Amino acid sequence: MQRLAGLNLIGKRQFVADYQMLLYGDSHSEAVFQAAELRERRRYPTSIAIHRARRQKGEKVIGDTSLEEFVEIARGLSSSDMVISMIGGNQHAVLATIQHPIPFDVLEPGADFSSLRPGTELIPYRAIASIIHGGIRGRDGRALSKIRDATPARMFHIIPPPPKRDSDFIRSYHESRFSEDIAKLGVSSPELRMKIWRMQRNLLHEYCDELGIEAFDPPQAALDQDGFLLPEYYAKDATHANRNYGLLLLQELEQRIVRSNESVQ
Amino acid sequence: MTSNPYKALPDKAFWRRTVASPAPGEVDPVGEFGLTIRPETKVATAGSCFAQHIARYLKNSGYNYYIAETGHPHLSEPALQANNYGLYSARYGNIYTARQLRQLIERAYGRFSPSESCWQEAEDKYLDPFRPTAQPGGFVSRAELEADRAQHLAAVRSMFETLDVFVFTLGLTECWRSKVDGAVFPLCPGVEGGKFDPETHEFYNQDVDDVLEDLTVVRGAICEVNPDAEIILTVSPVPLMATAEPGANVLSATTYSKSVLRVAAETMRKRHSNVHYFPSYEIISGAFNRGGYYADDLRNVVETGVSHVMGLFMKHVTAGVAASQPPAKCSDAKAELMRKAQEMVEVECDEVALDRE
Repeated sequence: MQRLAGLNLIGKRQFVADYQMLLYGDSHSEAVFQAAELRERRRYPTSIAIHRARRQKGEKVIGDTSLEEFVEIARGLSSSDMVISMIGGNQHAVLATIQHPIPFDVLEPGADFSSLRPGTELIPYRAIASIIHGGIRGRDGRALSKIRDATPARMFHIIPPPPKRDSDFIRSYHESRFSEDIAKLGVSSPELRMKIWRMQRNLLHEYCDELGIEAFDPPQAALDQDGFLLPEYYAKDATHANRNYGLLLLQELEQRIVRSNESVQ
Repeated sequence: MTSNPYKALPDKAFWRRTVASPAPGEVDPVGEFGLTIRPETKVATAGSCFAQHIARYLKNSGYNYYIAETGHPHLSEPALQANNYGLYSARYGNIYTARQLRQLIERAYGRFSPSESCWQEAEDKYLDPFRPTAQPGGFVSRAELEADRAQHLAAVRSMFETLDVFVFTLGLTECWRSKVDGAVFPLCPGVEGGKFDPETHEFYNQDVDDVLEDLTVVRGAICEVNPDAEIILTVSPVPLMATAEPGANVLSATTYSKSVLRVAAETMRKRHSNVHYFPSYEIISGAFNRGGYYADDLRNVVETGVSHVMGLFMKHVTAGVAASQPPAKCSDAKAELMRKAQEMVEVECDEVALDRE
């Protein structure tokens, strides 16, 4: 299925809900897009229009809808409609996927020394959080805020999927996809990846609260006991989740909406 | 006319010739300065807030401003600055008194462990009483504070053991200390954190003997781990913000404080061949500039004053040897790694659509 101007899925739906659901996002939205496609094929369509943010990367253009275009679409929604954001979300991966030549670690609030990996340099939590904070409130945050300001619709922001515990999986992906110098740096520890992801998750919750957006955490069913993404939800790269994860997300979103509609009634 | 000892003295010995007559910007109160810094000389700094100007100039001069506690390369330059890395050679914040410097070295080498070692301000905000402003927002836990302190004190040890020149700017004699073990705080508890408790905290105003003893211990400790180290002492020209000396006026208290520090610095210079004095205090507070080097608050130093100090510092200390390299761009390597990490994630993000099932 080709993604055109975003509303292609809505156009084909067989079941029409009494609200509109619009999704706007970057690469993490791909999991939901694939899930919606699968549902369509199974004749269980989804009341969702998925817009991939249009970005110019060098010569290449990725995505179908500019922020300005999406803001205009969202402006026309009503308060019973939904806007779902999957904008950005990879600050944690930039900071903590490749093993830094000077290994580092952070101590989270409430954690004791034992969670500090021996032989690493401590970066104070608030020092590294200031970088993620800046990233969240930069381009991605401004986009969220712009959409929030434009629409009366209920708005969710999907927290990006948590890290994958399997370092070998990530390493083999690096080795096959990137230059030797990235591959030879190796992969940071799963614990560090999780700490930095959690930091981003917490900062996103804070920012969403400020904007009046509901932050939507990863589905519990997709996580192992320590909160890592279960292998059956891995996309074939270091940071993304797959179609099955998208299916879970859609299911939970729909349940959340139904539950809150019921509680209103 | 009979001869007298003054006849043979150079112009710098005469007030009219060297202070009153020259244009203010030409006044050079440096007497003797027997130390030369070369571009490769590792110069570390510490001291009261005026020392930040010295650090800033050295950093931009192309000379080897030595930062032992650099902060992790993952932190961007703005993040490093915002978190006070590079403000001084280690992340100790302002060191106002000789006692504070002495205790820093003693703490670094495990010879002193103050009993009041952590101020909890909130559930997730812990301050180090000996550098309460070093980490903006504080540390998130006591464990983090202690881990960062251990890392910090290791950097302090490394700094003292490997520096070539240590520039220390003496700022104050007045301090607040623990009645329990004499630990001196950079700021009165209750100002930037902690709680003032008259049962456990007390005011103390150092005299010349105190400062001399502290500086002597500091010098001894540095020489013990680094026998070739040279020390430059300066006195901050910045007046006291407030005095806690009972019954004192802040202007008189400032004069007392600076006089004690100046005497102690001069005594150290005369006693030890590896201690030098640079007259930052005289350049800024000298009557020749008619107060022009102070801002409207008569306390902060304006940039022309700082330039005068640092121009003379570079002239005398570098003996005219220009730095051959522009300031080192240590950020290049880290920028490259971040670029690769970003590229890795972006390529993934671009290609995720290719992996459709």
